[in-house]
Amino acid sequence: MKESYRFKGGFILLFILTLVLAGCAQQSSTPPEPANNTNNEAGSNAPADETPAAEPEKELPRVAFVYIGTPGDGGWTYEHDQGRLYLEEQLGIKADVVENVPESADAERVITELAQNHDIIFTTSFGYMDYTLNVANKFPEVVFLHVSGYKTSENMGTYFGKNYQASYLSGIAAGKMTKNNTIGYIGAFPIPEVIYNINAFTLGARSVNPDVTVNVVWSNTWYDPTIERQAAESLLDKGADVLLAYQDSPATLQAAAERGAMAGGNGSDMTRFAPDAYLTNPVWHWGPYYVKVVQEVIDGTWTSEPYVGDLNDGMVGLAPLGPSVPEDVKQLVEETKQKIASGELHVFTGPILDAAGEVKVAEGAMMSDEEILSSSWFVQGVEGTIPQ
Amino acid sequence: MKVAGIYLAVGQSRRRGEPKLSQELSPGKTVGGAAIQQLMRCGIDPLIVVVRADDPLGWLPSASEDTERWRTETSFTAHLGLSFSLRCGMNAVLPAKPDALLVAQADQPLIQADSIERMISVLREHPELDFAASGNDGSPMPPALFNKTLFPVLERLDGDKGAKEIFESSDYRGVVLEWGSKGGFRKEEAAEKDKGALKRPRK
Repeated sequence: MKESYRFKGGFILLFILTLVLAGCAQQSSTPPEPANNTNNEAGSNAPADETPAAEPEKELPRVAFVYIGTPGDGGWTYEHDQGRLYLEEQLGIKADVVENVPESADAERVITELAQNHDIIFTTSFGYMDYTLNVANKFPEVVFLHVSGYKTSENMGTYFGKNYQASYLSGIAAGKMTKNNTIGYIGAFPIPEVIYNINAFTLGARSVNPDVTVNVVWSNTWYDPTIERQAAESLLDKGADVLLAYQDSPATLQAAAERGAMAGGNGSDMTRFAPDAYLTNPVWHWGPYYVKVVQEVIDGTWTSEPYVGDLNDGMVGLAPLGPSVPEDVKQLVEETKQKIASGELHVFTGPILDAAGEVKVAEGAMMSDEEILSSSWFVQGVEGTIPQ
Repeated sequence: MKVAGIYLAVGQSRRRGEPKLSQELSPGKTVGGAAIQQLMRCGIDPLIVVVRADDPLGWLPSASEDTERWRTETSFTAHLGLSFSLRCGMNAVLPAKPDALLVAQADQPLIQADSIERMISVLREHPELDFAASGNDGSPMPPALFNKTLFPVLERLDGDKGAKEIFESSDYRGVVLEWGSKGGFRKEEAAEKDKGALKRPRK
């Protein structure tokens, strides 16, 4: 802290502009006075307190979230915000939120501004990965948690879940509900996270209906309801009667409902947007993880890790199947869910063929987490391309 | 002395449904843009105009006016408080390694270049000062010029706190430059009343 002193005889010297020069000349020759420091530091002349001091209450960390959209998206960001609210309720923390932050250099500026006076920062979109890492390297005392990425550092962890488990279950429902075996899927970006969810969805659909094909279109956006709707309508025009969307809004579901098709979205239960047309989709429950991390930081036990949740710890879930889905399908999905949760069924177990019919995973073999997380090819039954 | 500037234009005030910064003081001169033109006459370089992400920016001076020396920086964190917008501006301006930083607010359209130049002159002649602030009947207010000794303190401001706590702290030495009643640094509310009869700061 700068040495304390003040102008002699006044709290702030007031200059009238006409007197500025003279005023400054006078003051510049005035030696500064030492500060009247009334705040005795520990170890000063104060007598030692004989009674042991009570352990000071741990200060709550300052927490911030960076969102790609708004909680009003009804999907991805909505669920992160639900997690944030849960965290606030559980730990009595008031977190700061910054919405609509593009996955660009703007993100690095925002994360930097937050790092300058926060202790923990959650960056909730894949495209923030490098920006988060850059800022983490500059602020080693701040803890950063980035969703769905693969880069970590001593003060930056990642978190995500095996949502492909729920995608597989969604696929079972879709495979059972399609009448013409034509399913459409709107993918956000051709990145492994989306690709392995499309694959899991297709494997699930074909496990109950081998005649199914899944047509994929890319929207190249996480959240743009207009573009998402256009993509959905293009798939409906091609004859799809069931749609799934790896997007952050319910636009696909709404488009499907208008055309008498069924659909699901991503990230959150979207029943309320079109109940009769609603199929199901993977959902996220971030709250318990947020509480865990922040509590660990408070306790001083946090260490960087790539945290992966699943159906068992509840980070990943499946939204309730829509009211139009028959009971026998609901039961089948539930039974399969139990098999996955128990480890009896691994979604990516061979034989798995790629879209060209070549064996990618031999019978009985299982894809490793690393292989899943670097997925760059479609399974058999997917119709679409992966831009390189 | 190298002086950089931060022009905080992150308010959302509206008058009769129109954003205040877009209102015209005279043809082609908006409430928000007028001060930028004045600041550009003071050798401030760079000047960072901190704006909200949802601001259409129709109030900015035309692109041809000194845009090499001023640019906008979008503050996505503006809603968290003035200190965040200030940090947004500082993160943009500090790489230029200024010796002093002028902080002005966009609702002060009557800022005059010669007043700012006086402020710069005071700090240049008295580098032992931490700041020079404008005065409003004795109370320090923006625009204010901060010596680089205060940059770390400005960066640590929190929430909606402006520089008031710096002005009031006994830790820092500063001067308040009183420009006279109804003079150049009154806020925009006064500007409407004084339109057509704007007084220059007393000399």
